Amino acid sequence: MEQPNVAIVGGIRRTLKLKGAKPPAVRKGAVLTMDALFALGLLLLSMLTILMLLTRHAPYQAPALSSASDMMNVLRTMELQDLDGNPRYPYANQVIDDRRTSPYNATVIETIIDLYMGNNTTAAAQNLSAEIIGWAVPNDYGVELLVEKSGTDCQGLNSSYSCVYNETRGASRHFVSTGRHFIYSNNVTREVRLVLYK
Amino acid sequence: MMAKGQIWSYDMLIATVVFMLTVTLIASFWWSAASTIGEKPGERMTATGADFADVLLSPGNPYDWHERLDTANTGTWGSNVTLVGMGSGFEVPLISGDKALALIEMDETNYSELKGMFRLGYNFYVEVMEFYNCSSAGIQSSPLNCTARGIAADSEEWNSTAHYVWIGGRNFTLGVAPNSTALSASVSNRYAIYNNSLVRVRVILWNNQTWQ
Repeated sequence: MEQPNVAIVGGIRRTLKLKGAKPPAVRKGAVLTMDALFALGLLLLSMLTILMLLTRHAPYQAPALSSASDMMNVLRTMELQDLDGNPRYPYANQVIDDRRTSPYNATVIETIIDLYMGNNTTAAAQNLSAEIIGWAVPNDYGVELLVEKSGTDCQGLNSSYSCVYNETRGASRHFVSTGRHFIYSNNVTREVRLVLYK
Repeated sequence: MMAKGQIWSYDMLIATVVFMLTVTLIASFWWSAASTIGEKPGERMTATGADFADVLLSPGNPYDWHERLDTANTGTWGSNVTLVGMGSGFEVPLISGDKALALIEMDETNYSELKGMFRLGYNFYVEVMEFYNCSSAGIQSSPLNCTARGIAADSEEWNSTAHYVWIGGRNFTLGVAPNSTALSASVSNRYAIYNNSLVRVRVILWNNQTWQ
């Protein structure tokens, strides 16, 4: 067994012998144990640091949300006569000129649905919808305007809702917003749905 | 007899290791759970953006707030007015031109004070767009004439149907547009009626922070 032969330790032993005390046993590996402890501590701290670094802080870019109910609220508030002489809406003015004697104080959505339900005026409903709704919706949004009437929906499927106006600007529908309104047309109260999606 | 220096014993070593492992596990679990089920700061920004848009399109309080303050004097802003908004009334999506102009003037006077009145912790930018075709004969012969407003023919803005609403001789915008330091943003599109036209109110909140 190797004895400690360092001068200082020897000096201590000699001093203790002189005083009649029992020399202390040298605890082997104590320094190594401390080293291991510090090493483990450092290792764990490194793991914590790496974990924190792995938790990435990324910029937040929320998708621009468009509210269909907001748009529907505008369409059921704005009257056709409000657009009379307004240069922003040339097609609406054309419709007004053609319908001076019909419900001039109808709202825009009532006018669109009235045109759609009328004879040979489906294209007019689509043109008016495009001018008022289509232009206002952001380019990355698709638009569907449907009325409660047996026919085909905007995807060409048989449905109790018919497609009045459709603007497909992308196939995905990760975000869908729907606005609803009820219109009395042809002696029936019909639901009108505006769908914005992206 | 107990050996001296036992604090460095294997028991202590094992206890320390177990403790640190436990702390590491708890911290890791905490971060994971917080990022999975907790409300993200970005979502809070989106919710705040929606609330801000609601306030902006409300008539404000009192209803005639724009007549009770001097838009050029920030000292008058907080005394008689509790809420500013540009709506004509509740439940109707109409923008009041007078209130909108007052807000624009307040923004020009002191953006920070206006942000404080909205109690916003983010920078904000609002732009109000209307829609028409610059090439339309009716537009060219009207006060909306794009050329007269400095929009070059066949430019990107000319070919777009979206144009800034013109109010008081300037574009209808409020706040500070996101600049190169903007890292996070939340955008909300709202629709309203201004000057007998459908307009899109684009509300953007932004800051220069990133989040987990």
